[in-house]
Parts: sequence; C-alpha cells; structure tokens
Amino acid sequence: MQITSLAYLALVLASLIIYYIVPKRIQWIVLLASSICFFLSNGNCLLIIYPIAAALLTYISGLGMSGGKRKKVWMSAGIAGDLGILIALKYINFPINTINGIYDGLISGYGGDPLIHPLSWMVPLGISFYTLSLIEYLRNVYYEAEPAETNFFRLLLFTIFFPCVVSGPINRYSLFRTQIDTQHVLDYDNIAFGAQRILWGFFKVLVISNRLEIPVNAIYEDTSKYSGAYVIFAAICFTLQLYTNFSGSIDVIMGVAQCFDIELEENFNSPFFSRSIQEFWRRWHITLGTWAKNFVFYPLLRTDSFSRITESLTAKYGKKKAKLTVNIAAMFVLWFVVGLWHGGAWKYIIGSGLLHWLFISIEEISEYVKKNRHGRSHGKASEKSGNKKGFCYVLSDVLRMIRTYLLVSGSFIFFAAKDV
Amino acid sequence: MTEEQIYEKLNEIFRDIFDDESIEVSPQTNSDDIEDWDSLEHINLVAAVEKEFGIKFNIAQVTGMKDVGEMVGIILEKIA
Repeated sequence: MQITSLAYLALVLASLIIYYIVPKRIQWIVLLASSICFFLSNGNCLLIIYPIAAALLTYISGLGMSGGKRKKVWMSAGIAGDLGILIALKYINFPINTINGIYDGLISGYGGDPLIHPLSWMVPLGISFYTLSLIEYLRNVYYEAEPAETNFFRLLLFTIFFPCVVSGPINRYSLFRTQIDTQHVLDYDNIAFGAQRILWGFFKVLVISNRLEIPVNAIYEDTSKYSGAYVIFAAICFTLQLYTNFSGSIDVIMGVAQCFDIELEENFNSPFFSRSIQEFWRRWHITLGTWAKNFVFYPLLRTDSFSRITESLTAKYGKKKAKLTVNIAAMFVLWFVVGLWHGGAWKYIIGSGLLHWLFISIEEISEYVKKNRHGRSHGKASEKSGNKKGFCYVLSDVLRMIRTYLLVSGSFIFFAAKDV
Repeated sequence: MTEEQIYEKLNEIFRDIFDDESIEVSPQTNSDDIEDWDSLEHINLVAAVEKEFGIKFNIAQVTGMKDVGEMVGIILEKIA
C-alpha cells in the first residue's frame, strides 16, 4: 500500500474515526491495530514476524537491564539481535555481490556465472528505520536515560507505527511514549493543518516527483542513446525527484501523525538552501544525521585508540592540524555507515556516503586554509549571518547553494545507477 | 565545590579548548554561541571536563547535553 494511495487515505480516515470515538486510554491500541493492518497490506504477511521478533528481543533486553544485573550483557544481546536481523536480511548479499564483482571482472571475464549465488530473502518494511530506533531505546535504557517499557505491545507499536514505518523519520521512544500516554482529543487545527500537509505531500510526490521520474528513467535506462547533456539533465532532475519523493512522503507522514495528535521530528529543512555539503546534511534526512552522529561519530571519537591518536597528533603537529586529521578519519567511518545504511551495495556507499565524505573533507581543508590566512572570520558564524550582508555576499551565497546542489546531484548519479 | 566554582573552571576549559579568552559561559551557552563548537570539539571539551573534575560522562550524556547548564547539572551530580 503506497502512502500516496486512496487505500492509505481510507485506512487513515477509518483509523481516525475509531481513534477519536474509543475511550482515550485505549487510543494507542487503535494505532497498533492500524499499524498491523498497514504492515500486513504491504506484501508478504509473514514478514511481520521480523519486527515482532525485533520488538520482543528489545523488550526482553530492556526488562533485563531494568533488573539491574548484567546490564551490559542484556544491552549487547539486544543490539546484536536487532542488528543481526538487519544484517542477515538486508546486507547478506553485499559481500557476496562484491566477491562476485571482483571475480567477474578479474578472473572469469564479464558475463560469466557468479562465483557465489546471491540469496533472495524478502526484507520487511521499514527495517532500516525501526532497527535504529530500537537501538537508541536500548542505549537509553542502559544509561537510565529512560525507563524500560513494561508493555510489549506499546513497544511493538513504536516499532511498526504506521505513519513512519515506510520512510521514517527515525523515531525516538523517549518522545513517542509520552505521546501514547497522553489522551488525545479531536482538535480542528490538528486535522486542518495535518490534512494540508498531507495534500502538500501528495502534490510533491504525485505531481512533481512522478513527473520527473519519466525523463530520468528514460535517460538512465538507455545511456547509449542519451549521453552528455542528457545525463547532466537527468542527474539534476533526479536530485529534485528524490527530494520531492522523500520529503513529500515525510509531509504525508507528518500530516497523518498530526491528525492523530502525535508529533514527530522534522526530517528536512529546505536542504537546497545549503551553502555547503556539511550544511546540506544538517538539513536533509536530519534524523539519520543525528542518529549517525550520536551512535557512530561520538562513540568512535571516545574510543581509547582515537584519543591516543588525537593526543599524539596534537603533540606532533599542533591542535588544529590534529583536529582536522582526526575529524576526517572519523568522518570516513561515519559516511561509510551512512552510505551502507541506504543499501548494501557500493553505489549507495559511494553515492550517499563516501563522495559526501570527500566533499566535506575538501570543505574542511579549505576552511582550515582560509582560517589560517584570514583569521577567525569564517565558519558557522559567517554561515549564519548571510542575511546581514550586501549584494556580493548574497550572490556568493547563491552560487554556493548552486554548487552544493550540483555536487549532490553528481554524487546521486551513483545512487541512481543500476550498479557500480 | 559550588556551582560558581564549577563555572569558573569551565570558563578556563572553554577558553583553552576554543582558543578564545573572551568566552564567558552561562547556563544557556550552547554550540550555537561558540563558532568552533562542532562535533569534534565537543568531544575534546567533554574529555577536558572529565579530566578536570575527575569524572566520566556516559555516551548518552555526551550526546544528550544541550547547553552548559545541563553539563553543570551532570558535573554536580557526579561530584556530589
């Protein structure tokens, strides 16, 4: 069931009517029932076993940690289990395809039989989103930042909450649990603004994205016929197509959640107004960026090895050069993980990961050089004060925005490619 | 150690980490107020605070603290 389909709207409408009629204390059960209906209507019904298994594992681990004994073991078991399901279902073919690609190119010659046959497993809806959310919940329970959930079905609702199971945003249980505890009354503003946002999302997906998809697909599917300027045109259109599709879906999701009086975190903030790739990622898929920073970047920098490297580089080359080097090294891991999250294939790792790492590293190095040359006038403060500057600076900002758009479009060529 | 003494020590740490003698932190000071306070500098700052006060922040605290006020709250809790 597409979230821009009439069937989806019918499910939302029916759920809303029941949600506001039933006693307030069981409203969350209506959401759970709707989420199960939505999940079952999307392909193979048996796939619901996976989110149930992940929620159950997380629930048991949470309760185990709240017992106070062997907390680390419970947390590790929960995270390993959730990640294990994700890796087994989504990434098992990544090493197989990589080995086959090397074998095909170097040994057997192009077009030969694969060395290892890839596995064809079905992947449940939203596994990449809910796995990250459940890991965050487990970590918070471990550090006592939030209590363990004692009702399995509430955690299951969080796992498959139907507005955001398809495209995110990556939800936090600490925000979600207080909202399902709240009694929601029918509010005109919520319904009106929620419906407006749903309509806006439909417009972005059905009118803009789906129209752009036609020329983009035509060009990418026949690059022997279309080359040169056509490919550049397709690359520029694909970025807009991807944005209107993803952010349009998020608009529908946010709108639906608002109708249920549930607040979710925003995932986009006008990304094409970014003057750098770094800024772009603070405005595009915000919840993924925040998750990756909190669960990959910070823990990596807190490891003893990184601390030792930082100390030794600082002693040798000074604080600023050490910072730059360590930052670039840690970002490599961060962007590899971000790329891998998008899919178990090199086109994702390069197109939405490592190329962005390369662009950001170049930005960081040029910022370092500029700072050394001109003092402390660049950086975050100057980024924010664009509206206080004169015409030349505005023009410069506009050019930087265009440059960012083109760089992103260049990297998304890999993302859109059939393979790399 | 009083809250005032903690802020005094934090001022020294912030000035040293960000190479800026004019920094005066308040409970509301956050990463938007200091130009160089990015993700990496946040980790350096946390490490310097840990060393100064002889405490250890957990990763949820490192990623969760929104401003200096929250940092001071955690320090007070840990040294109590």
